[in-house]
Amino acid sequence: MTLFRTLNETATQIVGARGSAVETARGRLIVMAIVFALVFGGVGLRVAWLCLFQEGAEPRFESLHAGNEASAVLAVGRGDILDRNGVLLATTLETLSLYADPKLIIDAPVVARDLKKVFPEINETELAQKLTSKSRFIWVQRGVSPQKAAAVNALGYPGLDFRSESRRFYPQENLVSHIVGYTGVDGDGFAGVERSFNAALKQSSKPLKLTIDVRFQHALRRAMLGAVTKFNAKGASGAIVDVQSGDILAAVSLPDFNPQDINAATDDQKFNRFALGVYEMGSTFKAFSTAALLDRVDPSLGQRFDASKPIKTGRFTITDYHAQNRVMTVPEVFMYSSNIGTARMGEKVGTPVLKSFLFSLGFDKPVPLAISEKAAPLVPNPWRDVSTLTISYGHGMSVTPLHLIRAFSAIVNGGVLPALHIAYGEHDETRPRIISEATSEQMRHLLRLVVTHGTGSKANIPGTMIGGKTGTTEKNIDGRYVKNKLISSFVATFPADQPRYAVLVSVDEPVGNKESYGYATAGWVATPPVADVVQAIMTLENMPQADTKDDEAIESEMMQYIKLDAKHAKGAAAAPSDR
Amino acid sequence: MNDIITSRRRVLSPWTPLLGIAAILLAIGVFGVTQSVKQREAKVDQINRQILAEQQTMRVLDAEWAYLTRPQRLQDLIAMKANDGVMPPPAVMVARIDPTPEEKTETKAEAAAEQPAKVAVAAPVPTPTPTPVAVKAKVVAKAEPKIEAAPVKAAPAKVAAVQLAKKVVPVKVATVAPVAKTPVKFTNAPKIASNDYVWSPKNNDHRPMAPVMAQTVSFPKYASVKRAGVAHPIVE
Repeated sequence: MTLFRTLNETATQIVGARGSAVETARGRLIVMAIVFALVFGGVGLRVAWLCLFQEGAEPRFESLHAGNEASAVLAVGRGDILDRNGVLLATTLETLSLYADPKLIIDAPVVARDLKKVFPEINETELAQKLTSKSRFIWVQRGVSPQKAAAVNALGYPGLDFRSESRRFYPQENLVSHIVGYTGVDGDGFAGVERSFNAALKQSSKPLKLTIDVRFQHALRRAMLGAVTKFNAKGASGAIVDVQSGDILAAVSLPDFNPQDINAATDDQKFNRFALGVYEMGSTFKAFSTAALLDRVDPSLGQRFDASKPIKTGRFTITDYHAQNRVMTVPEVFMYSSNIGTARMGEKVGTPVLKSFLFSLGFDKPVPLAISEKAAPLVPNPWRDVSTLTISYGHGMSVTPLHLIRAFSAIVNGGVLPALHIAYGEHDETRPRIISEATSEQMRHLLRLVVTHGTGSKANIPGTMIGGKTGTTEKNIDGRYVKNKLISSFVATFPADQPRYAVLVSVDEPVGNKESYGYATAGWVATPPVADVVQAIMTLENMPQADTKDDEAIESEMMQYIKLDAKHAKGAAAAPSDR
Repeated sequence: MNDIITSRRRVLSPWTPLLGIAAILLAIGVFGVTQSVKQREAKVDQINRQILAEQQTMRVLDAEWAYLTRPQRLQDLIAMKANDGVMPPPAVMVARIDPTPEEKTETKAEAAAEQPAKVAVAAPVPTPTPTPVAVKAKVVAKAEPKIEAAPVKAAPAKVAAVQLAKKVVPVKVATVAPVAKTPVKFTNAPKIASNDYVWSPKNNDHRPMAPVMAQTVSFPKYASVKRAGVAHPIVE
């Protein structure tokens, strides 16, 4: 203000032509003053802003932010993968990689010799040659442990340096290989959860929790590996599912691979049998056709089906593996796993009803699951009446093991179809009702009967109360069923009165041995591993032993409909050779 | 002109130097505060960097822990140690015990299920291990008269329990009771303390090694874990 006043006071003393020049100068001065005031004001405001609100504008870690734990959080790149209990399945670690600049290397042979002492696995002569090359950059060793890095630094040679690299690490090795999958060199997921959740894992370092439980997974893998070894099988697939929530607790495909060493894995090892392999599931399908009959047509267990002679339709002849050659009730057909009886059931249900029933169980499309490996079932098209007959006992339609265990869960859990979950904490909004509670209970009793008196007798361990259905199919290779190439499966639930888990084990091309009297059928091959898994789970989960009274109630209910032959009579050691 | 002189005189008034000095002092004060803030920020950054390094070390150790406790390895170790006679397999892994008399009511049975340690029975049958006295006393105090009469061995107790059982509670049985006063001795065992697992040299060749930090951490000694952290290059 003093400036303006001074100007005004000075101006009053000059008039005329000179006065107008002074006027002009004064105007310019004012304009300049305003411009400077604005510019300096702006700068001042900016300085104040930076000082007061930007916390002194010190450079900060981009990766730091105050979370709930009020601590710094490490940005690690790709997120970890955990099991349902927080056990690490996949993590990203910073590792060091040693490189050399040959131009700075003074005495290549000596350097190579000393490096060989630190890394015994490297080729000394090759390295010495590389160290004398004209290139400015060569990798000496990737993924160096901190100890070896310290040892290299201790050598003190110029021209050797480290670069920090992110490396995916799978501490569980083969155990969860097909579920977790693996990543490529650029850090993108190529299989399993690593692939289906690739975007999420890349964007945030928040860990991804799966529904898998490594203890269950190990129990299942151990049991399956035992069966594969014992019966010299080509492979196996299996899964454990929580029948109420649809959570996958374990899923194993054998042979498997070590995701740490993916280059060593063969295509057969990498193939995911439980999600990508489609197989005719054989007699395990009888659970579905029987459920269709009881729920959609006639709920009485006493209805009879003539299995006295084989059925001939067109080029097919449907025979029984374990022929009873008589008229049988529903529990008898189920227990003896009669193909003829079940085909008659399918006939009674009818093509449209059976077809829509199986489709409602999800056998018409890939399993809805957040894993990138998906396979659509092979459904006959057109669906003829003969298809109805064969599919009712599990031939003519191929599904993945995950399809089977999901549909089986719906049959035993009270009749609602769960979606399968792999990411922890997911819940179904709605679940379609497939069969009534009452039918589901009937089915559980029938499944229990298979274990107490039928083909699944090797799973009849006291206190476990397993209910399940065996299934043995000949492999269909180029349209022909090959007699000695079998797929033996057992799908089971426990405890049969109040199911919690469903377990499936399916063994690919088992070979009978002395112990199994040459049999490679499901009763011998797939049932014992399921029983092992069930016992392991019961120990892990501290589950109480099943009440024998419930078992007796089921038995007495079923016995009204059953005429036992000598082999299956109570007390007789049943040879579980059936299909 | 008079006005200007007057105003000049005003500028040179005795307050002016004082104001100037005050401004300088304030500037020095602000400078000091700024500097101390900068120093503190540097310290915060240093601490943050340290936290990051510790987290990095934790990640490595987490991975190592997951690798060393993977089920397959634990199973192999159990098999190995069991064959050595270093760690005899417990005779009873899971026992079922009748709820004790005072716990027979529904609510007490539930309470027992929540605190299984209350009704634990310990005794691996085929070992030379003397059953710790404390455990014996515990069982006797809690058990029914029938069980009380029986010697405290897992097998008969289990049979009696199963016979009596109406609502049974599965209980994990500790092979070595933590309350034992006399130290447990196994034949052939070199030395076993709870936090220092000694490997027999015979088996060192078979020991599965972690690929990342195998040489660093001699599981699970705390001191070497520390050393691993310091040796890690990100920790400076």
